[in-house]
Amino acid sequence: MKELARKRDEDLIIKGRGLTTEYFRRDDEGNVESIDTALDHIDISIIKGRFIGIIGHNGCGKSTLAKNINALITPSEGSLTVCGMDVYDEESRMKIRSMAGMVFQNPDNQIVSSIVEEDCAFGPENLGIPSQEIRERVDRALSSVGMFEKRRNSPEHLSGGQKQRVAVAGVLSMEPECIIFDESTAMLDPEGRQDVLNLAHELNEKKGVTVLWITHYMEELTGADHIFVMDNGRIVMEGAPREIFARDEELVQHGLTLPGITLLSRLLKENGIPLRGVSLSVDELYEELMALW
Amino acid sequence: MFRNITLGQYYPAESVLHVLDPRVKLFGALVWIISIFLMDGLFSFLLATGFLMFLIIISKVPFSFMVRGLRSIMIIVIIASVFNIFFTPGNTLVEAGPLKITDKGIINAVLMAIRMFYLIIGTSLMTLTTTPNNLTDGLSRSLSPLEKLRVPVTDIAMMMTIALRFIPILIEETNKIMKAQMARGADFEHGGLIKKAKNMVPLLVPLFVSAFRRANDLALAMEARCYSSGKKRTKLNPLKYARRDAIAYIIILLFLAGLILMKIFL
Amino acid sequence: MAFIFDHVSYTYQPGTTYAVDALSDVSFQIKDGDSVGIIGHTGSGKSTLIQHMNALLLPTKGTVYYNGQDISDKDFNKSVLRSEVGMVFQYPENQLFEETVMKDVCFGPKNQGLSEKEATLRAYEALKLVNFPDDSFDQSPFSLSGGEQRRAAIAGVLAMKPKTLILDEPCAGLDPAGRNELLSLIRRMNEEEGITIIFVSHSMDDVAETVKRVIVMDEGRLFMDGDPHQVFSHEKELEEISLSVPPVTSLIDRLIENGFFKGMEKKEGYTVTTAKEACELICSEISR
Repeated sequence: MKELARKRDEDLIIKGRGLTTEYFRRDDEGNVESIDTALDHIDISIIKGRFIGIIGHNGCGKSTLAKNINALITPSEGSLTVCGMDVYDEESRMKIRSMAGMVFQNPDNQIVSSIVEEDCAFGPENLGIPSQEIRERVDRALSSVGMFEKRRNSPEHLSGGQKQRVAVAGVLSMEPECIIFDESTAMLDPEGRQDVLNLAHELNEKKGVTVLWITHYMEELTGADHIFVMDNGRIVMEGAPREIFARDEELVQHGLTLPGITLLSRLLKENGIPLRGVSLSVDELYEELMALW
Repeated sequence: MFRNITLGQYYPAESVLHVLDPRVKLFGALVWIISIFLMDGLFSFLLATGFLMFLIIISKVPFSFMVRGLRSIMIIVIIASVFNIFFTPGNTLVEAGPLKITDKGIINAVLMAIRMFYLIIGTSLMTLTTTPNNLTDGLSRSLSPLEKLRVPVTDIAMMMTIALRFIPILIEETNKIMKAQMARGADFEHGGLIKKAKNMVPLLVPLFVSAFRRANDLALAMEARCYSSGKKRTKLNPLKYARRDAIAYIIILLFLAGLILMKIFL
Repeated sequence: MAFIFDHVSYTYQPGTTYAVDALSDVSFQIKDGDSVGIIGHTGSGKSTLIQHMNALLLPTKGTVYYNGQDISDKDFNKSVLRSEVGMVFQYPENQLFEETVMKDVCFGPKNQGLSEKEATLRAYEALKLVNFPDDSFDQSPFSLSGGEQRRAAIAGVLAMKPKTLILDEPCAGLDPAGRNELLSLIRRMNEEEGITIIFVSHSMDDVAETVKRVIVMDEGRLFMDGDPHQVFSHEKELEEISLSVPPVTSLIDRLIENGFFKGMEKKEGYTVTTAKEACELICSEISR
């Protein structure tokens, strides 16, 4: 928090205060039956260029947060600025969507065209960008996700991981500052999952794209800069992975499970083995154990 | 079960017909349909046959591939021909009870069969040499004057693009759900018409649910990528006429003119 | 012996240019009461394999026997097989269609020719077995959460009282809590109800903590067959077919290889798959 206080507002790509989203459930006559509070007065600040993890069990409000940031829904209460633009401002909505692009969960349900490059062009086409520039952007985007060779293919014959790469290219072609991955690996096999995660890290490191990685797999967040844990529409924990992973009892309470290696390092510590802290990777724990010996 | 139909399929090859602007091919298909009604004499038949053979050869699509697609249409053609044979008045050749076969009946049946085959081969030449996406593009550009009449041509084109993308997905989904329900003992094969229709419920309900869910997801994804209906969009590959397209237009018009002249003077 | 696969091969669209060999020369047996994991990456033939166990596909070569009967036989009764071998497909909630959960779960038993009353009884038992909340029995299946939908769908298969249950990626898309609950349900069905379990997954972790035997598939061939400890001790071979063993296993393997454990060399058929086992092993070594 101290670090955040020092940062000036320009460095914050996303800033939300008291952000609230309520869904009204209505009966047949249109009277409000009940109110679901999907987001409950959230304060969130995200620094440009970071890799941010947002984790929580299904229905904790993480997808609603993503939709707010992408201006797909307007908050019921509170303030939210994305890339310096106010989400309440009708005029900036398209701009926000192109600046904070979103990759969804189901690879099949977000690809519009039956030709890879035409799908990748969908965003820029909507923005009214001239054909020549769309061509340049599409080629660049497809190259940076490693799908340039397949640009004339049909998405039908691609693997799940490759489809998600195409979806990422479709966002990149809008030249965003931030990409939100909303459980983009949930329907992939382990190979595809690793593949898309690596791609997100690569874009973050090489292109300086801010990444919001939303997931319910703890093991995907070992490389994140900062993690938000959500439950019941609130942010319940926040910090660097090592701090968060060390608080395993709290995590379990919020319906999450520790990755195997982290769990092992916890068990070892409980059994009196003098490890420094929690381990996030096989390499780390291996080195520590070998050093002990 | 959908694999045997080649009608409306695209056959990838490198030919003049493949690279032609889809608008030219749409126009060509329209002219071909008109010409089917224009040909009635021997010479016009010969001209049309020659023209069709010329197109088939330059398309580089194997003739056997085209014919395979005709099999499913065969039944319709046969039924139509049979009706023609038996129910055309003229000089009776053979008589069996109430059924009569006449000379005109036979000629009509043959003409009819040829016309239908020509119609199908000619129009499928267009789909065989044009990718569905290209065809959609061509159609939306050809129809763009209708926009002045407030016909939402861009939205319709978008719908066609999405349909092309999701039809194979939904077919696969149908197969999956069918298998899942069969594993729960559902029977899609036996029983009468009403029973069969009733048995379809466990297939259709999940299919609709899934289609709606996909539509929802897709709408959200499209919105997230800045789509809004009715807005002017640019294109990655805008359609542009080349010289070969002009030549193709001239050839098509010459063919049409030839047929009309034959109809008037022969 | 529930299943015998005898040199089974399967080709999609044989004789055409699209022909794909999905299974080639696969032989193995599954006994009653077994719990077997089938792993392999996408396209390794797992799905094709399990569809043979329900006669949804018949082998193009070789024979599949169910209780000693050839499933390709003309006289073979597929409906008996299908009622005895339950199949839970990937994302099974996609098959829900009735107005209420109860009615949906009754669909299978009714197709088996049971009366309304018997079917309801079966459905009730099955829903209880999967810990489905009582007060949601009469809700529309479409108003449930993802995890509940999945359990309702599994109950729909369990209500047919299968002797064997095949589950294709049952944990896909579930969050950790949902996943843990489902895995323990699968174990319970095998241990308490005596149902033969065939569990298809590409997650080594899920398989390691659930089943007693693992079959690894690669490019339509049977690559390995043994208990999880045995199979996961072949880390290198598994990596070659782009499958990775659980991280804990990989850590212990590296420790053994580099002499962390005195007097223990890497031995065929010995490995550790869970964090608890690994902790015990390391602690006993250090306390020595």
